Amino acid sequence: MLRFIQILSYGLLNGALYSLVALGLSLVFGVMNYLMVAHGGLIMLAAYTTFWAFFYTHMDPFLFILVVTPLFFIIGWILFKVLFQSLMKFPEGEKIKNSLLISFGLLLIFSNLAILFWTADERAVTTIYSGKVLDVFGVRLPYIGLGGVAIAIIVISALHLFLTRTYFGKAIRAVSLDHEAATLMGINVSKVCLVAFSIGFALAGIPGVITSLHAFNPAISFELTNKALIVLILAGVGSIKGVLIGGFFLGAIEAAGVYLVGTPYREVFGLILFVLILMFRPQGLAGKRA
Amino acid sequence: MRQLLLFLALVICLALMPLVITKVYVLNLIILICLYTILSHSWNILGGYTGQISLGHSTFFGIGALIFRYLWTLGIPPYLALCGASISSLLLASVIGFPAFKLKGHYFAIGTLALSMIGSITVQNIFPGVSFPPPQFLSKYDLVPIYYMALTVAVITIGLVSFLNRSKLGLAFVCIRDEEDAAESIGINTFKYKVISMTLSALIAGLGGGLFSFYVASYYYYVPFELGWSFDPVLIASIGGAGTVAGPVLGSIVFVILKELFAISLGQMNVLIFGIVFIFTVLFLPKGLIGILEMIQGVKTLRMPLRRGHDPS
Amino acid sequence: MDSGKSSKKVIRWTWVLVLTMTLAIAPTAFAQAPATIRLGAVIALTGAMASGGKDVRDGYEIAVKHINDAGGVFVKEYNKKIPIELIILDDESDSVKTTTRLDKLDSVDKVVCYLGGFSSDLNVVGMSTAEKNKVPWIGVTVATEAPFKKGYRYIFVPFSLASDQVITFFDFLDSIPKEQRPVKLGHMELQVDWGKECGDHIRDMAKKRGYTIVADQKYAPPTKDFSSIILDLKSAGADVVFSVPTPPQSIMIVKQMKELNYAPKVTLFIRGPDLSTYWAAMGKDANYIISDGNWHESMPYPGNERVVKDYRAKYPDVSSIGIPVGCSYAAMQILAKAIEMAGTLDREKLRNTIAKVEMMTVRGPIKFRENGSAFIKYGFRQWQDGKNVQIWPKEVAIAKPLLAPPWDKR
Repeated sequence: MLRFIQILSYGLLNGALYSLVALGLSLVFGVMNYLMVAHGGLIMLAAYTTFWAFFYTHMDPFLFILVVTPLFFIIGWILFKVLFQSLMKFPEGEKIKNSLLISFGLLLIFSNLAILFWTADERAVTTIYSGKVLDVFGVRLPYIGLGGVAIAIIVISALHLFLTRTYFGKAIRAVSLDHEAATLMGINVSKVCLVAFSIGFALAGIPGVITSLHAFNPAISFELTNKALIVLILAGVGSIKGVLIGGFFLGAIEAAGVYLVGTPYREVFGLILFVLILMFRPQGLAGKRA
Repeated sequence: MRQLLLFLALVICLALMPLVITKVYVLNLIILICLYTILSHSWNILGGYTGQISLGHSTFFGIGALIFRYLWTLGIPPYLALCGASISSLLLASVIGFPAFKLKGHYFAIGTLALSMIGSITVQNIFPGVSFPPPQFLSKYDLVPIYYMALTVAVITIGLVSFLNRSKLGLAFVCIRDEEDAAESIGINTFKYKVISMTLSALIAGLGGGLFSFYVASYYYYVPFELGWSFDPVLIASIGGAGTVAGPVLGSIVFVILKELFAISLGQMNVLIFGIVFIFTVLFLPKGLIGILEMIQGVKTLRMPLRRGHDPS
Repeated sequence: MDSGKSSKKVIRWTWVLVLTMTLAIAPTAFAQAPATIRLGAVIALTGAMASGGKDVRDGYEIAVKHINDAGGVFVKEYNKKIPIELIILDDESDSVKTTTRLDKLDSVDKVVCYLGGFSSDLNVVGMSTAEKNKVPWIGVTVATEAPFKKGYRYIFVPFSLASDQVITFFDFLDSIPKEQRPVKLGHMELQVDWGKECGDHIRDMAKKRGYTIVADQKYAPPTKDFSSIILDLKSAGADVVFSVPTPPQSIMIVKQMKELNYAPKVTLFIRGPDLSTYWAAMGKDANYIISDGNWHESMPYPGNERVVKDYRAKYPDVSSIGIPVGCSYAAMQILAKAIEMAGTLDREKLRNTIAKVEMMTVRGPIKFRENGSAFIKYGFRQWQDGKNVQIWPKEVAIAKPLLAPPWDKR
């Protein structure tokens, strides 16, 4: 029994990371219908930046979140203006298709830039609290994992409050629902998209920092993007709360998978359940019915 | 009619190549172009024409490769094994198609992505080793039969898609892509046509998988199931021009030739430069490479007519 | 005078014929020596296998530099030393590109011999391409035994096999004094051919060598969470662990072992911890981890010092040099020796000569078997205080193996 709880706890801690990974992607997709597949690449770059900051300055990774987030916000701002702004004037179908293609090009560029600057060797950040755990009745909970859970809850709640309580947040939600109606309401849609996109980039910084505390290399860009897409759809498009639920849910299912079908098929178990859930609830766990 | 003659002339030239060319490398590149054409057209049928963006084609490709390899090692001649391979993909598609089409749009895309991930992990676990060709194959190796198989399958694929381009079946597909609800309301059984589209698509992908297995003598079993084989056809068909006959072909040619050129001359930076060139192509040719053809020839008949809701070309 | 005129004509035409034939065959009689000996390699410089790919490339490049500094390889057929030209192409860690680009090296560049790339996954493709093109192939970082059972003639792999690794593993354990020796073996089997071959050898040999397998768990390359496996190993009381994880897993398993407070006396992860960046990633938690020791910079074999010096001149910040560097250097040494012995650049003759090469390289003595694998000396390295030192075999060890204490006592 203890063993099961231990495995489940690890699953939930992973789940927190999954939520954070999907968060930025979900926001950008909800607002603009852009599937920003380069998101995994951003997270990977954030992990490398954290690693080098730690290597040279010994700055604690969790503190570094305060640096990485605004840094990536600015990068997102610039990239949107340079690459994606020109797409805004195209009709819907072409806009989505081309943004997808550009994102994929960016993904290739990010992973290869990483190989050029830092080589493809496996990296990780190991701090003095790596490996240390909180022992709760025999269940060992790593501090780093707990930190991830705390951050996931804080960030997602903060984002939710931002979207529901602030004027700009409401503008973002209006734009997600209907671009034309939002324009008619006097909202500067392109400005909103620009800011939402940049926030999406900024949100990639946070899981990047946590990933750096595990292990990473340039190839994880693709794995992370896949994970983000799965959680996005599991959560349901347009729901930020859903992302939190979806991430934890996926983590828990994978843990159950280890228990039931063994480690080699852990992801398969999660994916099969994901597909089954989609069959019976095509809008995802918390999505709105189309 | 003119296009058909041009196409036939090209095919004959390519068929005569092995007699003229001494450098096997050129034949290799043509085989690769054929392989990517086949795979991206297979996606194109489901994604470009029917509008169902699938990210699961690596599974059909992989099953094609697996079954082809299996039948071939049993001693069955390659072209028969190829038929067997495509039939197995077809069977798999009809099984998946029924539940899959409950999903729409992005949900369908990510659902198929999940399927290809399931396929890739499962195959890696069940077959963790190397798939070797039949004994004696390597000592008597000859690229020419592989070249002809590549050409044959590519021609069949292009023929099928151009047939679709002007047929009622193709029109049904395009209606589903452009306005699914309207299509339903005028009596088109969208579910039935989506399943047909997926099975055709899988059939072609299975042929592609068989070709892969015939071409790459030894490889790890998991390789044709890798997700790259799901993403590449989407990229190639899209950058070439989805929903057209020439688009995926142009896309494949550029993809293969450009990547080779970069790999040979740019060393470690080759994929990076490719990514940059790719982005520039998207920015400056938003309609895809087929836009170049249209600019040169002023031809608009390559594209399927009646695309409401999209920019009328 | 007619017969005289016609016989003159005959003589004239015969003379013209003889001259023409002489002119035609003259160039081939004085065979021009090629300007360089062209060799080709397709290596993973981008993509998932890029980390080891650069080490393989570096070893080849240093070897070529050393050979060319001495003027090249002496080829008897042309009676002179000819420098080596090594063409390296990226395969993007993609099997299809490996075969296409190797074909280019053969049909366009007409290389004399192929050199291998990185990782079994891609090398297997390279080996079959070499076989079908009938070009000799010499490469390293192939640990799976399957290709050697196929009757290939053109492949040569001066590197360890799964059986070498497992036998040496038990030899190493035997060397630990009986009171401290761990005998309860925990095995984590990676679901790839190499992992399964190691597993089969371990299961065959454990009992005979006096060890008991108390936990035998499977995992796959995408696995990221090892909590279940580690808990099993821990509860079974395994005090020695053997596995061949991927580089990311070699980091994550150890981190999770620390979190779950599991510290076996011996942790042997053949792949992963040998990368020079392991210490930078893990810090002190890397201590005591044992990994592959096919080659080490401290090895006393002739020529090794020079390799290390040149490598460190190029990469001054590296804490330990990756094993592929020395191994690929040795592969080039063997090839150069074979060309010299053969006296020709003919592929078939070269192939036959490589098979007979028996020499001392920077990684020790090498001799090939008929199936292309080699008799080599295999060993292990261990991380001790930031240095990845050779601890086995005793003849080349520069430090004593250390058994790991529990986590809280480190």
